[in-house]
Amino acid sequence: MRSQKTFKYRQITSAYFKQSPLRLCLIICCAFSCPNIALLAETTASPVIDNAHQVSSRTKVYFYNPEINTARNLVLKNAWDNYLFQVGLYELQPVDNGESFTKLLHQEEDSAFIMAEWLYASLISSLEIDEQSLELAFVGVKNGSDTYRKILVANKRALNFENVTIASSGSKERARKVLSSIYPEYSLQQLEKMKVLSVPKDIDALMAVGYGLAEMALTTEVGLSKVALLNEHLYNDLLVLRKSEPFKRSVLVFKSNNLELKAALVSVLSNMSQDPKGQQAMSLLGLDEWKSSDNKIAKSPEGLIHISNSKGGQNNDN
Amino acid sequence: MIIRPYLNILVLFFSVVILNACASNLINQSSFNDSSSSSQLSAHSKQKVLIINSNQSVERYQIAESTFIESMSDYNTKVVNLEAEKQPIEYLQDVLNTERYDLIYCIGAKALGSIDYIDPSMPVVYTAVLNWRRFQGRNNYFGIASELSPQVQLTWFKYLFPEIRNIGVFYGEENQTLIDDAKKTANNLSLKLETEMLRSDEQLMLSAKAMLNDVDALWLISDSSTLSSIESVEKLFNLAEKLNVPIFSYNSVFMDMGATMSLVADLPTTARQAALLSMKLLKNIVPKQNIQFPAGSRIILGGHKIDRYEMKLNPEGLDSVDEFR
Repeated sequence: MRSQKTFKYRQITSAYFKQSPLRLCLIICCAFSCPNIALLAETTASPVIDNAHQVSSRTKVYFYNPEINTARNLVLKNAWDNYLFQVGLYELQPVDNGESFTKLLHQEEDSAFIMAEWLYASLISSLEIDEQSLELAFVGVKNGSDTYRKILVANKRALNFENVTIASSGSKERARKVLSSIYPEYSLQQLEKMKVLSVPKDIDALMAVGYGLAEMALTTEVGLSKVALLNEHLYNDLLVLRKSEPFKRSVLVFKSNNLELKAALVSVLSNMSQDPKGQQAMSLLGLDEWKSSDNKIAKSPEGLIHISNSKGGQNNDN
Repeated sequence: MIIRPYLNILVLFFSVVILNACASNLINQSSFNDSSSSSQLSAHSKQKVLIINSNQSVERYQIAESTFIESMSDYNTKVVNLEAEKQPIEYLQDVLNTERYDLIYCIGAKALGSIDYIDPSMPVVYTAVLNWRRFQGRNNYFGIASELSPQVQLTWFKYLFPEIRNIGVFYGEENQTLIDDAKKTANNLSLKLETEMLRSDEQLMLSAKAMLNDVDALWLISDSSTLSSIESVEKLFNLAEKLNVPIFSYNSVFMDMGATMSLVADLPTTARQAALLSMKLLKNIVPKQNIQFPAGSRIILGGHKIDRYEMKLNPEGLDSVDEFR
């Protein structure tokens, strides 16, 4: 009898879940979230949660650049937070992939976003994000220049495009885009035939060519000049085949209507190059400093509003 | 009566013509379908790659497997996991008997060791095998080494710590060629490599003090004579710390023992290299060398050690650093 009941019960539950997988999902979600709700209810007076609340109320500076290896996200976060924590309630939040980053650009308010300029331009031009909601505040600068060029470098003994492997930092898709821009005479099919090996760093790409792991490298002028200083023999084996048009370096964009917050962030970011921790954080991104864009808020934040606390942040009193 | 055999031959002839026409029509249809679906697919769709993972629970093996599959998306791939397999050789023999493969990709030593025992006729590509040197002379076996090449390691040393001039290294006979190559690179980089070949286990600690007093940094390479026991390695690290000599190593495990820097192969890049190598082999393009060194690097720095030894880190190199410990 009991086994019959159990069987019936199993039948009912199984039919119930089959009818609606959503129900099953809801139950699982509830099971996991209930303890958290209980925790939240208990902690209104707890100092630990006050700290947690502070953490969650930090203004986020989201970061995504397909040309920077995501394995470096932790070191970037640590270095940026080392600087940001000392100046206010801000934190860096690196993002692993373009899809999540675009979603955050849609959803998040009162935040800043650091990304490759070409990515920003492509998101705007593809209408994936609303340009009106964003404010281009800063462009990154390295060695006094806010632009860089990609170059295709070959080993002097391998100048034929047949069966070559091209080492390139960043994503394969980006490498193919750059290649098609510097070789407009090549069809997409011809470019597809070139094997691209994604490597984490520009110098990796150059060393791959220099030490026989690839025939060509898609890299930067800065990368090549570093190799020239390091190893003349290796540099002498390399030949620059083509250069791209200049690309702008990383940009920093605000998404907020809060003038006070933006002015405070402008102050925090402008001062990075004056502070040792800020310098280190910038260096890890391959930048020396931020240059304000033609945007009025980045140029004269103090003129727009009165900054009550130089530490900035949403909760300046803390 | 005389006409009948001729009639039979005529019927046979027409049958052959009709069959030929049908066959060529089918072939045309098939190639049309292939080219319309994907230009890459037509050439590769029939080529099958067997991926043998020593243990899918190990994160670095997981990375190798997923990156390889992603890079080989135009090929048919099948994965077998040897994690719980107590008789991997028999199991793999069954897998190979059931289906024909054009190439085998082994992740880890268990996978490669088992396949080595079977010694199949198709090319074998491997990664994540620490004793890769054992296979470097083997026909039909192609791999990506576990450590960065000595040239790449020395270049990073020079780039990140430009003030370092004299670098010491212990090695055993097995690494003589590596050390000869490293000396040439060191010369090109204006570095001086102080080398000492170890002929016995005791020699390491007997020679260590003199070596460490003479160099700016000690370079630890993957060498069974130098790393003969944990005790001797610990003693070496303790002595180096006492004499304020930083140790540069090839594996992140040495960071916990007190290394100042570890230069490690980037796992996804290694798997992508294995995929490129496999694609070439599947097109019958055989590389000149059976072993490639990893093309991607991961740089781990011990921040406290750099401060302690008052080393000058090139600020330009910070954008290449992956981890501070």
